[in-house]
Amino acid sequence: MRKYILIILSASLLTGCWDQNLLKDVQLIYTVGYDVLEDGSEETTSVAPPVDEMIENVNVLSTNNSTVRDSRYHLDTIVAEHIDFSKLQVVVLGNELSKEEIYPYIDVIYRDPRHHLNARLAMTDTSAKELLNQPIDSQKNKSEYYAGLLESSEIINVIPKMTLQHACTILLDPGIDLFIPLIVYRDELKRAEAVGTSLFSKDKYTGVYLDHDQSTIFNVLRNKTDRVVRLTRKYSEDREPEVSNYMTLEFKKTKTSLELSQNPFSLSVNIELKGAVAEYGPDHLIGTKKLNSLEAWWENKLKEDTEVLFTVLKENQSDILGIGRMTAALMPEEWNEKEWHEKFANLPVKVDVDMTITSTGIID
Amino acid sequence: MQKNSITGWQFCFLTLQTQMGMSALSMPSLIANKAGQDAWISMILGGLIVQVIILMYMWLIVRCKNSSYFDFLAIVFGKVIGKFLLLLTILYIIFIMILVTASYQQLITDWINIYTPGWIIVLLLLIPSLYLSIDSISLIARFSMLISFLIPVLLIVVLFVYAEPQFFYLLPIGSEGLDSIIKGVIPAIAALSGFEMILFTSHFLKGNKLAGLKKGMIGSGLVTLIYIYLIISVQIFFYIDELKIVPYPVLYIMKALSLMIIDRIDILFLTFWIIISTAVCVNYLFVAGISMQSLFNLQAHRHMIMVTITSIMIFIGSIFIDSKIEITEIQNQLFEVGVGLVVLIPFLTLIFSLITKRLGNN
Repeated sequence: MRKYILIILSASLLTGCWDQNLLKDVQLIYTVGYDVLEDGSEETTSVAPPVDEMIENVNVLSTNNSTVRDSRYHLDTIVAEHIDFSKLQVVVLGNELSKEEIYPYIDVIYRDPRHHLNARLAMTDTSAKELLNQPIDSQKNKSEYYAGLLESSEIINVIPKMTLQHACTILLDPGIDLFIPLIVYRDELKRAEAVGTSLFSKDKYTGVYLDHDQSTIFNVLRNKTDRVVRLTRKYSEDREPEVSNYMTLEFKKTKTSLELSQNPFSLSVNIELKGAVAEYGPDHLIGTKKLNSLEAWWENKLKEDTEVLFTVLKENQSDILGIGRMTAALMPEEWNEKEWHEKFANLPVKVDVDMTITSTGIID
Repeated sequence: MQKNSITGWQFCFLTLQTQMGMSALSMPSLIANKAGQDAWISMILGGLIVQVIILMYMWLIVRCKNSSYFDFLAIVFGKVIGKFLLLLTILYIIFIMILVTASYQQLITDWINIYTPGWIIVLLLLIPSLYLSIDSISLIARFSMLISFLIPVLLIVVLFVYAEPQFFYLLPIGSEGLDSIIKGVIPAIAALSGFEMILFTSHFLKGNKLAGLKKGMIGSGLVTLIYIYLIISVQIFFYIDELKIVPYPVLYIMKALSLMIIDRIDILFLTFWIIISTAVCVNYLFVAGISMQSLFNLQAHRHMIMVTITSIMIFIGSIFIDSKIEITEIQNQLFEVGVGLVVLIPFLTLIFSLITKRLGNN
């Protein structure tokens, strides 16, 4: 008797088909773009990889409804499979949307357990729909193209990496402003390009972005450099050919310390770099004296550039380095959530650069 | 009897497992809602208070001699009041179990099996738990010991937070004020609940009772340390306002991770965590069984029936709780009252037994 009861009981353990999610029934979305239209409604543009390996056709679908969720449900009504965002790689925000508060548009991503929070966040200078509908002259299919584009740009430090999870923390923290990579479409190349870092003040796009050089310095400042930092500057004016006037340095090790001080409330920035000459046409760099003057020249140059960077940040009231967060933690008496942006705009910054050139490559 | 006794280390893991499974995943948010960015201080204070409570338990257990705590209630207070207090304790146990199963079901529904009916998930938890809990204490303690290898997994996965820690989120220390920190101590103690397992199962200890109890205390202390580690890890990952809206912050951290091979480590981790939740269920079901035996003066072989009845009650109870909001409400209000109960009743018992000089049976 007991045996039969056990058998019947264990039969109830064999229930497992409610939550099956077969790959053949779903249409995975790798890249998605959000826009806001003039009437305030939301438009979702989804880029899905081809379901069949043999077909190269990538689906680009746009739906327009009042909320992001609605637009997603709408997607289901126009594709043969079930739309699935669990493998999302990139979220692209349109320019108009970025000028508004962006959190309400990406809230759905945090609320849904199926979502993957390691997807990257980026924005574009036009509407996301326009960008995602552009032809891409790439061997990778378009749905995966944008993730690869961002990743390869992160490796050379010309843009910062911004994941959805990180963006959420920043958006909720009053002590730091959001910064995300900016993607611009290049007609002549038929490709998109990650041109730099767009600056936000609170959660609104300021309309200003940092170019590659500035983004690199920004990455150095926040100690988030991946692999090699590469900087090129014009070292001399009169050499021929023009390329000889430029020098490229590579830094394997960079370290920045930010320090706040009181009376008056100010910030001092100390950058330490250790690097090697990667490219310089005229050669003959060896000799302590020469290296010393070279270092001094670079230190001065970088100091200027960093100061310019801080001026840009302060003018746009964009505290992307999280100085506010530091202030709140280390000097709570100076911290005022409401007035922080004005205070940041008037914050005196002192920059110090210390550079050591340890190698000139395998030639002198 | 050999089968009905446990060693000190088994006792330690029994306590540890019961505490861990209760709220390790959700506890940081609950505390942060009250104590803000000083949640970790509240946790340390809460842990210390729990250690004091356990010391009080130990004193009481020494006075219990070989009687169980449940029997001792009747010895100290007489039949009527003693049984009434026992009934309150049993209600507490059942209530805790309903809460555990309901929040477990909610977690699984939210994160993995969205379309599976809730009662199926509850059944799948209760049936194996029931099957284990009708067995002897030594088997249950061994089970708790066996699955403790899962705890290092949790600790190691959370270690990834320290790749990019934001220690600024912990500073300035004490900025929320003493008031908030003390308010946070209450959910911290509630998060550590499960320590009453020391009181409920101490009469199974064999050999030197005091040495065994000390090991129980170590188990509980370990849980406090693990919780402090978890809460600090969570706090340096999330900004405090974000932490308040994320119900399972530990899982959320895993969700944001992407390892080379495993994309969604949180889902994989949850499948392991189910086992720990089962252990909580097993331990409480067993205790419910022996306490009801004591209430109705039943023979040991009635244990199975009592446990089965309890599981059915829990099953029915947990189906009625079907929303996360309800669970949070119950957790916020009644949970703390319930924990107060398992502190207050033993305390009264201890005081009363000291006054009347009544001791347990040898």
